Amino acid sequence: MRITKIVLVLIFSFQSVFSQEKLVNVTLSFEDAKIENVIQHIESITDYKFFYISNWLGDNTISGDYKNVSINIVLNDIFRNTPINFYIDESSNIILTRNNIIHDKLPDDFFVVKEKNVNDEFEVKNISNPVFYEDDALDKENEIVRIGKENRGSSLKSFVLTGNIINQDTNEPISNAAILVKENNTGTTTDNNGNYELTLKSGINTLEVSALGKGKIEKTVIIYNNGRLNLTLKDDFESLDEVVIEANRDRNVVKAVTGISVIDVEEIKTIPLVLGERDILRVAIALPGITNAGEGASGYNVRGGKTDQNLILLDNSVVYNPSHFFGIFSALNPFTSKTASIYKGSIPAEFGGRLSSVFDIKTKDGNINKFSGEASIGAVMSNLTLELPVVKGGSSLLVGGRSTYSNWILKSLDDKSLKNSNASFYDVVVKYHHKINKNNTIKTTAYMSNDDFSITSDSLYSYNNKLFSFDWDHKFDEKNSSNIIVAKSQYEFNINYKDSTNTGFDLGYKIDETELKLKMKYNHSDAHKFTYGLASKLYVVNPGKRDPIGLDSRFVGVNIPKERGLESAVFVSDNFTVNDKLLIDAGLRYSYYMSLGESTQRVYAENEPKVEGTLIDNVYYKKNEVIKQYGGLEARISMRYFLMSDFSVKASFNNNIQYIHTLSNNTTVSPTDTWKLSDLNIKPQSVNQYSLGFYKNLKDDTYELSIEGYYKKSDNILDYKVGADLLLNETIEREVLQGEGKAYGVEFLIKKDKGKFNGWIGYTYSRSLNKFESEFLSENINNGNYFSSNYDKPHDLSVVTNFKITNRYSVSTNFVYQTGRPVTYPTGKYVLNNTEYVVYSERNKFRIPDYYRLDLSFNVEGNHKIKKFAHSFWNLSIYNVLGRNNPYSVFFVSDEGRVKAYKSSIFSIPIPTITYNFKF
Amino acid sequence: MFWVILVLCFSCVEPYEIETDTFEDFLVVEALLTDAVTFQEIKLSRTFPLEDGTLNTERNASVSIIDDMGLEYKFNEIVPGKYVSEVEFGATSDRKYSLSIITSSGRKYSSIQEELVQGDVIDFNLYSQSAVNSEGEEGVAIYYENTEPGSEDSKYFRFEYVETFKIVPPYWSTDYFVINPNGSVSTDIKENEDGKVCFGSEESNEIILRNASEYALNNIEPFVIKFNEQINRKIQNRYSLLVKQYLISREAYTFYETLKSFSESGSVLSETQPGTVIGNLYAVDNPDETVIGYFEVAKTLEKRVFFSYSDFYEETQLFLRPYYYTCGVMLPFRNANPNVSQDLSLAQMVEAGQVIFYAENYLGFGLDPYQPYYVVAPECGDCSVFSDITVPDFWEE
Repeated sequence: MRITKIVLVLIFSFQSVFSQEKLVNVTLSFEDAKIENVIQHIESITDYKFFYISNWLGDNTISGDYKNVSINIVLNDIFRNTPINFYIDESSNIILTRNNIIHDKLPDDFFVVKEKNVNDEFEVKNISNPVFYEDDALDKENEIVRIGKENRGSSLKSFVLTGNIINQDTNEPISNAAILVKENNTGTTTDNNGNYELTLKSGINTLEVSALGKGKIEKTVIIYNNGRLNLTLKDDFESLDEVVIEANRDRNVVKAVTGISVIDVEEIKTIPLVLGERDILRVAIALPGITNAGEGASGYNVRGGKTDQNLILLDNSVVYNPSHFFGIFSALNPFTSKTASIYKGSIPAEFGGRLSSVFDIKTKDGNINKFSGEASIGAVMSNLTLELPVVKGGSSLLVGGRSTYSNWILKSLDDKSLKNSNASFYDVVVKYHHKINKNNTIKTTAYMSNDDFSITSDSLYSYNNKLFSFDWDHKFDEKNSSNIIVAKSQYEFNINYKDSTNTGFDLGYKIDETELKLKMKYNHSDAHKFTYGLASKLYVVNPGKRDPIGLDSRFVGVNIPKERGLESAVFVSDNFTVNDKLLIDAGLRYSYYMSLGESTQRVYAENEPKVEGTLIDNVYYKKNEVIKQYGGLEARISMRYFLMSDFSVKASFNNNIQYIHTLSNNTTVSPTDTWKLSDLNIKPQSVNQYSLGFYKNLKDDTYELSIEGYYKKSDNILDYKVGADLLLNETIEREVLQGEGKAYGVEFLIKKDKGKFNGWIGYTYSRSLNKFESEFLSENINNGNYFSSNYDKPHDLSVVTNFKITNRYSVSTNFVYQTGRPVTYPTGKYVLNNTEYVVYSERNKFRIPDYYRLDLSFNVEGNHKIKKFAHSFWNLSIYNVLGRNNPYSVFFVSDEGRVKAYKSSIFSIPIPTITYNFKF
Repeated sequence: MFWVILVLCFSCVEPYEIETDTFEDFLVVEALLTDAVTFQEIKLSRTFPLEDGTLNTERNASVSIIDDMGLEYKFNEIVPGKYVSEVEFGATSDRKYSLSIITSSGRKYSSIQEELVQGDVIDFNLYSQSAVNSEGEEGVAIYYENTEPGSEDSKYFRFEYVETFKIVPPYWSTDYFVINPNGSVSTDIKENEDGKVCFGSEESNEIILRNASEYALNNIEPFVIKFNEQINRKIQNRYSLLVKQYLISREAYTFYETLKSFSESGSVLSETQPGTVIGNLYAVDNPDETVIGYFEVAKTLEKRVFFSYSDFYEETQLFLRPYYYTCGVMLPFRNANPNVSQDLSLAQMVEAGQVIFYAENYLGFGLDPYQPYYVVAPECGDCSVFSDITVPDFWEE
């Protein structure tokens, strides 16, 4: 080809001859790899030596796949989003330089080329001028770009600049992007294909490029001649995704919302795995303010709230039971999940119906350009996720599935007791997203999870979640957009119980909800951004049936009648930037609930306990007849104020109403929680939450510090009367009490995101107390005084660390300490009417032993030196390294007049697992 | 083998030692005031530690029932923990009653004022019938059956029963052993038939409740109040059941209903919310102190039924019938014979009360070693050693 001579002046300057023929073609593939790793990899497969300073390269990760491609193209792509330039000398040294380059003379055919979609002509030139690659990845840096070859003979004063603007993340062209020339206030916009043409005067021009929903960039260009400049824009902050998390590292300080945690699935790679599985919700528990009921217990307690007070959404559909195998694994596939935003303080107005938190989990969009996938093979389960483009560049199907195979292994064993054991689960998620045109995108997700297990050989439990959601995203114009969402969710469980005597039965429970939601966004101005809409949800609950098994079963069949309810809401919120320092996010939601027939409701005497004896009447309601209505205004207000540029204070007030309750029998090992709708006798629960927090980022956002306090007061929370039996009980109102609750706490978090050693320390001191007071002795709990709730765990400490020993080896640890949860102990016995009974302590007066656990995890990244079709890594993790025998529950069984205490624990010994993961 | 460990550990439900220092000592009151004019009874005890098997009575308390006119009925302790009214009296419909207890340590306890509920006890019949229970066992069921519908206010009923049954030892003999002054053993004829027939009695230890308002016309559907399997030793001869029907308040009914949920051993799935069932008693000086029990004021009606084993089944020989002890007839040597594990001579065994006479061994004459008599354990030939020989007043043959 041809030889180009380039003269550089940098800190040093040199001259060299650079030959195209000398360039080596390379074949390599990397995914989510750090630049430095990729460079090292290239060094290992070629003769090139790189010269650079590590710091320049940053922690950004890149992906790429090249087959026999010139090293230039590869390096161009690698450094596209960095301020790094490279230069290859004759002795195969690749010298990296940072920032702008000063030329003393412009070479022939000098050109700057941006981005991939350069035309052929430029590609050639690109190859010949690899050194001059530049970009604006840092946005804030205004780097100078030179356009064209200066033609000294030219008398023209203006030249034509053309180019193309694309979305950095999706590579899709951005239409209607505005390009403003600051010097003379002229400008243009891009066409539907993202192309633009602009006439500029020669010399320095400053271009400001912006587009709806994209971050603004500024570019200084020196125009010598006609030329081409391709630009990339990033999605801005509103659409949180992996890249944005990094780009908005000071989110913690900036956002108005208090008590928000965003978990990025990519980030959680560094957390020790539970039995070889990455787990979003397990990471959540490691954050302050979120605990679970104990090892092996399903459900999460957020800021002293009950486990039923969390709205767990997977692509807008409610996941009623987000756990597998008693909560050891979460039911959310880490390979298909993109982000989980957890709102525990201020809940956005668009969400409602739960008191404590919203876990908004989004599934990844499948790769629209090429077939790819990820798989893991572990001792307990395997996971396979595939991304299949359907319409290239437009739509994609994501299919992910996980399954255990312990079941058939157990079945094939000789040991009889193990043979009868049963533990298996699986989950499948399928997502299709289709970008119809620039204004319309549809996304559809279907999900199913299933669990089967038996604790004792005579019972078989199973439960499953089925979700479906549809989301049509439509843009009206630059300022207005809408989402129409249809979401359906179904949760059911079944218990098949066969014992030696004739007490076999088959028990089933099912809840079904269908939601229709319209969400509108109106970006009024820089200061005001509105979100508004309405939603309506229909619940249908089949509280249970019990069919006797066998002709001589002692149980009579029971069938509790269906319950129905309609929950509707309108909401509006404004994200109001008052000034540079003050941001207010104010939302209002009005929710309204109707309990619907067909149903027979029991009417009890007023001001009397609801017991068998105070029943006055049974009232029959026809189908769809309104039995009882509840409703209320919910305020969601939060504000942020910058005390310093990296130090902010946030405050919020939040109230919520919840129309659905769980009936949770926590005295046994069986997961028989059922959901009950509010009706004539059961009132909705509500909460007011106040929170205040201080957020500080240190050392260029390397450290993130926060302290947040909250106080919560709740009403009509449910607890159970002494002797309450909740299973298949038609008259639940006789078994429960509704009372007050209060919770308060302080949460500390120190987080270090960058560097070889990173992780976080979270500590929470909190209390959660309830009070059930009545003029009737039998309606009191603990004499009407405040007492610890079942999930009151004052001290909660989590320490997560990750240490990268080399680029291939890393070790992470996870330490958890929690105060043991409260429990009601039998304290003695007594005899009444010739029968021995047990006397119990006051409710929740004692605690089970404290909980602590240490996990270790070693990651070994696949060897880059061997040619591989996939990126892989091995993970060896040890769960419960200390072998702590943490009791999960302590319960008491009266057996032939003797009271026996039992303790159940899940893992009392260290559990090692090994998992092989690979991506392709 | 990881998955095996997983499942093994999942079934890690192991017995757990409860901390004993959690024991709480409370007063337990069993107090029922009926409308029947009689000596009323109140039992006081204390809670006791879980690992301890013995009941502690509350002794030397000052117990009385006071009506709303200020009339006080004093109770005296006749056996430890059992207090009986000084006079015969019964609750009347126009009065309200409260219980007052002052323990020997000076603590004062009282009850909420209680009264007889409106409405009336329902007249009822008892009848016995051969039946099969849910476990498929043959036996005799005693049915409760109303003979009239209850009045509108007759809603909440609690039942207690007392079983009384004839005990006939399988090896009673007309003769008994006599130890002669020279140490030898001979027999003599008994003067009476004591110990040939006795009577045993047992009170109900289950909570039986009926809510008449659940049924049409406040009528309690017939139900089996007591079932005894055919092989139950109590029904091998003649058997009687006394059923006491109490018309109680709604609050008392709720109390017993809750208590009942703890005494029923259901499947693992139906464990109930643990806690102490609170009744209508309180400590006067410390409202937070737990007092266990319920002071009931109730109308009562009692009925009795009899049946004999032979009413339902063919009688078998006495020694084949299920009995309270495992009985065998033994043929001991006159003198101790360690070779066959007989450490004592017959006379010594009789003296020690280990055996009683059953029959003479005529076949054994002249044999060496000499085995002159058939003997049995005392319980097997004389029921008076473990039960009462007096025929109850109500007994009908």
